[in-house]
Amino acid sequence: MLIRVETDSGTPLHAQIAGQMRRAIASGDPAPGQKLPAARTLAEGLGVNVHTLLRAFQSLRDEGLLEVRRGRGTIVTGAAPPLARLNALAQDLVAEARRSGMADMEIRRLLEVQL
Amino acid sequence: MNERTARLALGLGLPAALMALAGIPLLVFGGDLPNPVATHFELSGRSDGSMALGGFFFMTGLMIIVGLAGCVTVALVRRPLGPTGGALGAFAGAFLAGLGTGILTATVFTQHGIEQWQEARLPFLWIAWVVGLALVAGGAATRLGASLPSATAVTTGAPDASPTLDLAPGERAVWSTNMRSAWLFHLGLGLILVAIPVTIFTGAWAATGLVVAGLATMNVASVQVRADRSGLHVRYGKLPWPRTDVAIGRIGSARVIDVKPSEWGGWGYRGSLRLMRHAALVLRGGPGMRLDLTDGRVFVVTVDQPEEPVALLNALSARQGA
Repeated sequence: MLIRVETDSGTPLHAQIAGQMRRAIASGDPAPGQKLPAARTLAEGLGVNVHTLLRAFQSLRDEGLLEVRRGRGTIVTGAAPPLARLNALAQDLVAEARRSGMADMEIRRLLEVQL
Repeated sequence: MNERTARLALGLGLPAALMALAGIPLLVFGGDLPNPVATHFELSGRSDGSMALGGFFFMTGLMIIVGLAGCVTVALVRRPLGPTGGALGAFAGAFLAGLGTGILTATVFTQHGIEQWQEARLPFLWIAWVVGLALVAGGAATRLGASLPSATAVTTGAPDASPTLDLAPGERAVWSTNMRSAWLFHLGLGLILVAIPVTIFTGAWAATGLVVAGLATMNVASVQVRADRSGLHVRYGKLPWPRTDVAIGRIGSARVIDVKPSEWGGWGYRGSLRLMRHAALVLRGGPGMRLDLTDGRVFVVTVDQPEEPVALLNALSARQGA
């Protein structure tokens, strides 16, 4: 799994990291059931605060891509790969909509129209 | 012979045959042997050297177990095992196990019922038996090993073997992967279990070596590899130490290579950066990365999709040097 972040970009680091991890999970590396490296280790490698990593982990947990198993650590869930791809698409959609000036309420309406 | 038959024969058939050959006479006559037992003979066949019976069993048992472990390993490994297809490893294992079985059976047959080791005689025919058995076992294993898939020659100097990531100035990256080798883990476990009967025969000191080897093997069976701006880091198993850290400043260049375990001394952690100036962490044959350090040392690690860490390390080390 490769995680790249730009420190001088407009997007918050934790969001960049979550996005990178989402993409990695979507492409199968790490695969479901595999254990993630410790947040501390990744933070050290990236040179960012460990809380930034923990926040990214939490987002992915909320999305159902990761789960914490006692004794094993943080692992990728079985449902992760397709879910990750969808979440990545959703993140891209929101980012582009915001760039084009849409407010959050309009973005929600955008999706509802499709359902 | 198809691959599946070869694997079954090498992993089950041959070991079963040798173990039966070694075990049955041992069960029938084993209680009747002198202690110490004659283990060295003059050309005439008269005995002139002996060994404690327990030690003798340990030595021959170890030869058989280690040899058969080699055969089973070759039979289990899925990846192509180099140009010979594993024949070399299979031969070595079967030859060693055959030697052990031959020595054991020869001793059991020629010395059962004897009171003192000095009375033992070894007719020359038994020497032929020992060597013959080893060669037959080795030959059979070679044929079986040759039926396993072999790796095709891969040019390691491929043009895109040394990619570089284009990192923007404010960009940071980290690459991480976990690798596990189930058979290495079980091999380590097996070594520890073998230590139990060994303790019964020869006492703790001999068993300690097996336990240490077993623990070391189990530990190297699961590794975490990480590449970032500080260099390459490898953590083994559950233990924080020993570990491998190669500072980014020491890395000259990184390359994608195809790792053939036979070229790097086998599986596990091979060599020593400090002592031998080269080391390889080989969990399986196949894609891996090779680091050529600035002082000429070489470190190789088998990882999936090595293009990513190779590109990253090349970019980071160039950034460092700039």
